[in-house]
Amino acid sequence: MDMDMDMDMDVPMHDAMSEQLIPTINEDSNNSDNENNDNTNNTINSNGNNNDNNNNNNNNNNNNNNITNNGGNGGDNENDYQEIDFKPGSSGIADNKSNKPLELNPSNINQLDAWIEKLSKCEILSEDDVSRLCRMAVDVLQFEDNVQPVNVPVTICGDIHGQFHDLMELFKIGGPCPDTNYLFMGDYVDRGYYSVETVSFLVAMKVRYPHRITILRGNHESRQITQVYGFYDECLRKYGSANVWKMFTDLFDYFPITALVDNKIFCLHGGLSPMIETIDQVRELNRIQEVPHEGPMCDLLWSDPDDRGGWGISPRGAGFTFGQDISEQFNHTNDLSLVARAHQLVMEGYAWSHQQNVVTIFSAPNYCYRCGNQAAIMEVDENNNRQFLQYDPSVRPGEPTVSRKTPDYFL
Amino acid sequence: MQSIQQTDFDAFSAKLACISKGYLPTNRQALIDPIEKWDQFYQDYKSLYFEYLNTIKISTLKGKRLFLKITRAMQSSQPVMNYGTYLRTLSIDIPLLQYLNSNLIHKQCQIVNLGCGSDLRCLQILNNKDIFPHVIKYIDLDFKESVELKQSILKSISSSQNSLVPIDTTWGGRFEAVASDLNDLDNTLLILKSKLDVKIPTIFITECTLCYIKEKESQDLIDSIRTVFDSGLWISYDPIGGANSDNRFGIIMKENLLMSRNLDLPTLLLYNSKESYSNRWKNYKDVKIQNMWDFLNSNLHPMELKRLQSLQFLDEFEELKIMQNHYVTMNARW
Repeated sequence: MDMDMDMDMDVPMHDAMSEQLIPTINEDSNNSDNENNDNTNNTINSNGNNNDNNNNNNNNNNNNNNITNNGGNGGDNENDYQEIDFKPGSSGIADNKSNKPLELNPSNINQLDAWIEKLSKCEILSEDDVSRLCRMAVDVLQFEDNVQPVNVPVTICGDIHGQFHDLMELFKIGGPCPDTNYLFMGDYVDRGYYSVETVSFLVAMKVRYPHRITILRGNHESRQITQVYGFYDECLRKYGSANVWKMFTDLFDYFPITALVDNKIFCLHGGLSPMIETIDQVRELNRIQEVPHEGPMCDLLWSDPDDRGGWGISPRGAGFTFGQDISEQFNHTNDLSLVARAHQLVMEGYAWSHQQNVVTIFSAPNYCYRCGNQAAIMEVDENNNRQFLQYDPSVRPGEPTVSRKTPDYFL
Repeated sequence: MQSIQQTDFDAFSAKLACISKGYLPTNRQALIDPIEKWDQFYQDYKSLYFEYLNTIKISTLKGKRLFLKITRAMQSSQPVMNYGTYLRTLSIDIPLLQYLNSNLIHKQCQIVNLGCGSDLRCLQILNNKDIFPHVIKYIDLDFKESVELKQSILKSISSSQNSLVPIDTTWGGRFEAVASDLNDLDNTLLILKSKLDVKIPTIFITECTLCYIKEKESQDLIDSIRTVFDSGLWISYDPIGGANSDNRFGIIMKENLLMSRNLDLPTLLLYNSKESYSNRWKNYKDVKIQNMWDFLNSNLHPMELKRLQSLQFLDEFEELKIMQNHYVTMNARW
């Protein structure tokens, strides 16, 4: 064992490079080259910035310099990301949009099936293939409504957060797609270790079976949030550049923001907005944009139900909290039986609130590999009967334990 | 043993992340009950920690590698961790300063950090002799390798003519970094007795230290300190597994750390609640214990909570709550 490896074994810190399921020693010897190109010779000043950050834009390993530049001023995020030219649309995936929905033919079906097979083994697509997939997806998603109509039966799911193996478990519990219809309520990326595989898989399924699966936008399907919570870093790590991140975040702008199941269950990621009284008002929004910091579209993706009545300030810093009075009024006005939403970790995987006017569904078991919660999905049958299916994390036999990334703890 | 030592670098990079994002330091107005000497205690905080980090790189054989590991972990740390590190730091500093302030005029006192790692509270105290003149001795105790690393870094900083560490790295005999394995109680007590005056009030800090020690050994340590030293304050911070239906967090934590890092937390599921954790200080008085979620909600001024929220987007309060419900801060006097 050479000296370098030896040192690394001494310091099994769970850094970004050691997340993947590759035996530790191989991985570290592979990475030692990168580390030498890395900012080894920089000094970190007391703001936490690399002194020569500005010279590093072509260094892929110098990940998230826009974030570390922050130096404690949370408000700088926006400026930072403009600085590195992460402008919406810069990926080009929406440059040649079609004026009619994508038509499936034997050739692109073959292509999609091959991608799905690869992805279902938790292998990433090439950058070129991601580009092709996203271009196809734009031509599916741009024609969906802000309030996408969905028929019963359908199985409604909450946050996934890059927990790819648990998503596969979900399909085992709920039945394979396309035999079972699925509606996902956002937050496919960030936090878990397989955001790329997860979102690639779901988008590929969406393009392949557009009428069998619906994928809504969550608050994490956003340029800003993914730079803090992992998807951006993961794309850099797995592809060596931000291109794939740009493609997906450009695609996220096209995701529908709500769905209406059989005209009775209003589904969305976060919750209600004081600026939205009727579902028709949602239909009037221009959703093809980055998730705004405020306003109705932001609220739909960020708000939470609360025990207190009326509207309240959200501790999350975006969206609102809303009380039972608000949910009852909304359901009454829109002739709904239920608001189904995700967005909040609930220990049983689902939780009723507001006297069954609102249900929260969370589909990432043992969230962040640490929280110990169950996950759940909600089946709605032809007669609008609902049933919850709860499940635990998938067991991953044969996984080399030495190389599994430890979730963060205070140690 | 090595896997326990490595946790020091987790704590250190977490602290640096917390500082670089602006959580720490914070001023005395952050607290609902502001504490005297707080701002002086935290002056130079940022430069202390970053100077120490930069010196790690040049001071030892493994330094460059370690530096990279720490900076990477630091850069990828998430808001939920930064909140927790901030809370952890405050939960120790509040009782520490309260005690120092209460002993300010009449009494001398001593401080011992058991399992100190790279913690730099020693510098915060020692560099402020005019503010804490009564702290006549500060002992940092840890495994031999940790102590040697710390000594060599302090020496390097001192030789760089930097005002953060004086030429005399004992601060005129007030500071000592000593090596001892806390599992070896006899040796530990022998060292402590030889370095300290047992009649002088002494503050013992165990910050994520007891959780790595077995049931009997940690209990013996707690009982012996009470017997050997006439009076003092014990400040402790640790994870708890969670009792009854709330125990999944602990079971998963224990398994995660054992499997991926060969790190054992032998009492995590035993001292799984506030009650069972604090019952170990049964011979002490004024035993106070709080989980960190309650600590967050009972100590911080609303303006400070607002400030924290402005630093980074904390997307998930439920997760923060689950994690902080499984960490406790305890202090006890005798």
